Amino acid sequence: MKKLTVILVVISLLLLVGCIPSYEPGGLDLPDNYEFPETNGTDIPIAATPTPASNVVLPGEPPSNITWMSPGKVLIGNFYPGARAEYPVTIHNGNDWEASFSVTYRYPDHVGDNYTKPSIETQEWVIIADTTPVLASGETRNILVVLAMPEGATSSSSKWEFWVSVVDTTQEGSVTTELCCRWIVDMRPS
Amino acid sequence: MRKLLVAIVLALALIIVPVVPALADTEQEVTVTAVPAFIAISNAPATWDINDVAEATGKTIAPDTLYYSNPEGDTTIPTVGGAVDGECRFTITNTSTVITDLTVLFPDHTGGDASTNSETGANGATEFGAYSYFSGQIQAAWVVAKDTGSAAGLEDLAATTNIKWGLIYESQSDAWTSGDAMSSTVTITATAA
Repeated sequence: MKKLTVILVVISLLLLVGCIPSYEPGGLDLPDNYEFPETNGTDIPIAATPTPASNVVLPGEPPSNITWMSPGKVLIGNFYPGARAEYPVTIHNGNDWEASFSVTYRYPDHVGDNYTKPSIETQEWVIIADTTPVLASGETRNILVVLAMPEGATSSSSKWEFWVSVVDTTQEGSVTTELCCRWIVDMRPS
Repeated sequence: MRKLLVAIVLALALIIVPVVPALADTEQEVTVTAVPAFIAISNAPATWDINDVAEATGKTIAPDTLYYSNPEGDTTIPTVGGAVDGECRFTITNTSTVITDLTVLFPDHTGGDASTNSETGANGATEFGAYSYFSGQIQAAWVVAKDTGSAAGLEDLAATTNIKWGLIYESQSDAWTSGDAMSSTVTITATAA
């Protein structure tokens, strides 16, 4: 009987220790009292600063004289009202000149199979750290993109998609190019 | 001793009950996965002066007329059985490292008559129609170039593969009224497929 009691006490202690929540660092380096402002998703400065210019060449990276963006897709799983997801879009200026870029929320022209276009409110849930970055020739920079869905908000469906647009605004002419990163969101089953 | 055992078992039960939903929450954490890839395209030339590609410069644009960015003729339709490179004014230099889709948007004009995009591909009163075509595509595959929300003009372009393409513009069906020039900026968008 005494052994059984000891075993039960030990199990109790182990369970109690396992219940202590662990802290996982990560996310934006924002002040504790920071409140996400209401936004159209295009012009909100965030305390976190963009990653400065980098000379690191990523595997498979296009030549340095090519303007590119990365990644092509960001997949969000188990998302729900009140949740937040974040990922940087990386931009490289392949021009010979300093170039300004436009980084904005983009309502998609088309979406993947079984996915829907986002609700109109979605643009208010997307915060881009710097929507008008100016990059020196050959510079690569990370721009943080945050998807913060308010509590009680509803999405267009359980599977939806929006884009983040990157445009070199120093382009001239009547036919211009745009690069878009697809954010593909799967909501948590309710 | 028996009372002590009952108390411990009860305590265990009270501990375990709140643990169950906590475990469930852990399974439902938000996941963020990025597909490592580079998206990179450039386009040349960056202009299209309608009705000035193949013919002498300075020609005017007639209403209710189909124009093509076809170096072989401004009013010459590309091969309907499959446009060829020589019939495409523009070249996309694609250095993307993944398969991409290309989408063409042709916004409403500003200035002059401010002709608007019909979004159907066909023209109408004060409305123009527009299509994009890519080298190798048959006519049935040419896609309406809308102001917003175009379907992909070209799907599944292989990584680091260039492609030639063109535009079709059908001017508004009614006569011009202002006599002033108008303009629009076409955008071609690359996204990971």
